[in-house]
Amino acid sequence: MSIKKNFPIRLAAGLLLAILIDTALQLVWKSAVLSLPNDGSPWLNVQAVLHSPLFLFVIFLMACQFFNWLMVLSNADLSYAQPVTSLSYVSVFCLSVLYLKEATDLIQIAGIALVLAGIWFISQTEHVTQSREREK
Amino acid sequence: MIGQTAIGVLLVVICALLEGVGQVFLKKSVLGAVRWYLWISFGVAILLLETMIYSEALLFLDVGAAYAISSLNLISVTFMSR
Repeated sequence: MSIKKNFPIRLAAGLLLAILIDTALQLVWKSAVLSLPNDGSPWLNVQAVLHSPLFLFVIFLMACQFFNWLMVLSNADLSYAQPVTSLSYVSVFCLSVLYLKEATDLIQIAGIALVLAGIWFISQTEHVTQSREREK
Repeated sequence: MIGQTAIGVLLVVICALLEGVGQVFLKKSVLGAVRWYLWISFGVAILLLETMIYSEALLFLDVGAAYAISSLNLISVTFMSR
């Protein structure tokens, strides 16, 4: 993925941070759901969720993600930033296999390859609409 | 009878649609809209609802699968932001 000369460092840092937070968020979130007491019901108990430290950490990560995301959106088009941060699909996939021992197969790997291809195509476009950039 | 995997997939698809709406509202809030606080409030409310639904989905699916399926939100965000 090539970074254009006029690509702002702040935006690059924001996108990277978004990917890192998103990855941590997904793994902690799944761990939090798995840590809840199994009462036989498939539906989550709201009280159990609110008293789980892992869920509180999930909420903290979401807050971090939210403020970082607002900064990213103020520097880039939504239709550019959102697909680029989907690099976290790759990291979540790899880490969930490594740390949560989730099953994987060739179809999933092919899907991840397609995600990477999509991100590459999106990265070749302008990160902000020209008319909007002039308005600033 | 719908299987557990199908329920999980359905919940994630609903999340993807909500994500598109929520992201558009957040983008509206930073574009200098007059009532930016309303846009941000609606955006956060929708994303909170999505959070609850996604938590349910994680009960039925592996995070590797659930998160990959949630990439449908790329489509919903791209279309809704145009």
